Amino acid sequence: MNDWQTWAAVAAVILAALYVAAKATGKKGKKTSCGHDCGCGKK
Amino acid sequence: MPSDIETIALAGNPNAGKTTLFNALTGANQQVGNYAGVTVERKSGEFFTPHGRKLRVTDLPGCYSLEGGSPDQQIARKVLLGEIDGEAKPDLVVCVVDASNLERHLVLALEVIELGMPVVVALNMVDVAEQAGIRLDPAKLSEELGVPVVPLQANAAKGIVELKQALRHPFPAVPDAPWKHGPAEVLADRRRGRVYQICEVAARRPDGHTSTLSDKLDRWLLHWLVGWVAFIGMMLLVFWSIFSFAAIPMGWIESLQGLLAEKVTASMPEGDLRGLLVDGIIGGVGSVVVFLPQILLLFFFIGLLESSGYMARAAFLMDGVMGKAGLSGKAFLPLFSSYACAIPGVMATRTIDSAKERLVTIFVAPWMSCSARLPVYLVLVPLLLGGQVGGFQQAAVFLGIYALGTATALVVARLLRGKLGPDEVKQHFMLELPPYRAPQWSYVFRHVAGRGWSFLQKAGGLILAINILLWAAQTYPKSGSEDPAEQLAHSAMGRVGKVVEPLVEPLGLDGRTGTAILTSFAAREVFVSSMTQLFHVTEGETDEETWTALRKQLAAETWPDGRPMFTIPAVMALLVFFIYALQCLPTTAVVARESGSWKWAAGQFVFMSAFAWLAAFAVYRIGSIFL
Repeated sequence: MNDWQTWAAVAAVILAALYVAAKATGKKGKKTSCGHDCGCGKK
Repeated sequence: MPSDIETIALAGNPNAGKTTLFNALTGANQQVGNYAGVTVERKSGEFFTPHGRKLRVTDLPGCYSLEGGSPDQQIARKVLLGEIDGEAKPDLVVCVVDASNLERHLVLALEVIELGMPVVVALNMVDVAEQAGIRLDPAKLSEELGVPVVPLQANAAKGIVELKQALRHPFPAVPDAPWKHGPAEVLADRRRGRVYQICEVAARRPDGHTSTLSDKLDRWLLHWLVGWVAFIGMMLLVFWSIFSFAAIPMGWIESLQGLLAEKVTASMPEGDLRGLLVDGIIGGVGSVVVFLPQILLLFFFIGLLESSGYMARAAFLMDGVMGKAGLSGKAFLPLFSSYACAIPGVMATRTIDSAKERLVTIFVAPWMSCSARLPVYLVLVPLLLGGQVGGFQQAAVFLGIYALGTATALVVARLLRGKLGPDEVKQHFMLELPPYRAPQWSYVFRHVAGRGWSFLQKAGGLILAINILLWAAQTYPKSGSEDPAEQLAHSAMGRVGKVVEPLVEPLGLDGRTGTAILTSFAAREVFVSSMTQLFHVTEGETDEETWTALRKQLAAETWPDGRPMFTIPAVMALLVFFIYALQCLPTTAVVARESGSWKWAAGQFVFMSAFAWLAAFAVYRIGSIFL
C-alpha cells in the first residue's frame, strides 16, 4: 500500500469532481483571453 | 469590445463558398471556437491587405436570410448588429454570393445592405456561372447594388488579391437601400422584386434552358425509384466503409493503449495512483479516442457528400420520410451522424431553423444505435442465438436492432412534435440543390480535422473526469480482497448495484449485471469488461476470445434455485435496455449545452431510462410466456 499514491489519487478524484460540478453549473473560470476565443491570453 | 484591428465579417448562403474564401484569405492563420454562451462555431483569422494593413475576418454561419429563427441565423444577425457580448461590430461585411445562383443569393446581400454598413460583394464561382451560360456584368451589378463587386473563384484562389484591394482604406461608403422604404409587411416581396430586376440586367441567363450535367444526374439521383436505390446503396457503402476501415486504426489505438498501460504498470509500484492512471485515465481516454477513427471517417464522408453536392439531394429525398415524423429533411443529417456517435449528431442539429424541431431531433438522436453499443451487441446477439457467431441470423438480428431504435425514434419524434405544438413562425424547408462538383479535398480535410479536434476537446475533458469518478466509485471503500469481483461488490458502485438489484430483477437479471449496467454509464462498451470481471472470466489475448469465454460463462450461469439465468427473454430484455437507455453521460452533457437547458437533458435521461426499463420489462415478461 502506497500512501502517497492514495493521496495523489484522492486529489485527482476531487479535481475531477470539481471539474464536473463546474461544467454542470456552468461556472466559468477566470477570464484570461481578450474575449475573442483566440487564445491570445490578452485581457 | 474595442479593438485596434478592423474587423470584417464574411456573410453568405450555405454553399456560397464562404469557408473556401475564408481559408483562402487567412491560410493557416485562423482560430476556431464558439460564440459566447452558445455552441455555434466561431471561426476567425487575420490577414494583410496588399497595402500592409492587418484585418481580422470572422466567418459567419451560412444562412439564407437574417430573419430566420435558427441559432445560426440568430448569431449571424447579432454579430452584424454588434449585439454579441465581447464581439466587436464588424467594420465591413463581405457578402459572398454564388454567381451561378444570384436570384437566391442576392436576397441575403440586400438584407445585409439594409443594415447600413459598408459592404463588398464577393461574386464567387464565376467559372460555374460562365459554364451555365450566364452573362455576368459585375460593373452593372455594382452599380445596381451601390457597393463594390469583386468577381472571384475562391477554390482556385483567383480574385483573392483583387478582393483584398477592395478592402483598402477608406472602406466603401454605406450604400443606400431604396427598396427598404415602404410598408414593412411587404418588404420581402420588394426585396425579391429588386433581386429579379438586378439579375435581369447584371446576370442574364441564356434564353433556352440548357441541360447541365447536374440536371442529367439529378434526373436519376432524384428519381422516385433509382434515386432511393442510389441513396440506400450510398449509405450502406458509407456504413460499411466506416466500420471496416476504422477497425485498423482502432486496433492501433487499442494496442497503444495496452502498451501505455503495460509501461505504467511496470514502472510504478502497485497502488491507487497506478490504478487510477491505468484504469481511470488511460482506459478512460482510450474509451473516447478509440472511436476517433470512426468519427473522422464519418465526417470525411459527410464532407465528401456535402462538398460534391449530394448531401442536399439526400436531405431532399428524406424530407418526405422525416415529414411523417414531424421533422424536416434537415433532421436527416444529425440523425444519420448519430449512428456513429450521438455527440456529433446532436452538434449537427444547429442548422435546423425551428427551435422545436431542433429540440425534438436532439431528444431522439441517441436512439440511433451508436458504435459504442456494438461491443455489447456483439456479445449478446450470439448468446441469443445459442452461441452462433456470424451468418444470416446474426445479420438479421443486428438489422432488427438498428431498425427498432430508428423506428422508435421517429414515432417518439412525431408524438413529441405534436406535444410541443406548431412553431410560432411558420418554417419552410428551403433547400438549395447546388451543382455537382468534384470534392474540394482541402475543404474536406480541414472539415475532418476541425470536427475531430472539436470532438476530442468537447468529449475528452468531461468523459475523462467522469471516468475518474467512476473509477473512484469502483475502488472505494476498499475491501482488502485481491479478488476484483469482491472489491467491486464492496465498493460504492457495488453497493449502489445492490440497491438497484430490485430494479433489474424484474428484467430477469441479477445484481452483478445491474452493477455492470451502472458502470456502462461512462461509456456503454465498459459493460463488457465489467461483466468479464463480475462473472470471473479470464481475459483472452483478443477481444473475440474474451467475448467467447464470457458468452460461455453467461450461458452456464444459474439462479440459486438452479434455473438458467441468461434465458432468451432475459438476453432480449438486456438488448432492448441497451437499445433504448441513454447510458452516455458525455451525450447528456452535450445535449445540455446544445439545448441550453440541463432540465431538457435531465428529462431526456430520465425518460429514456424509464422507457428502456419498461420496454425491457415488457419484453422479458411477454417473452417468458412464449419462450
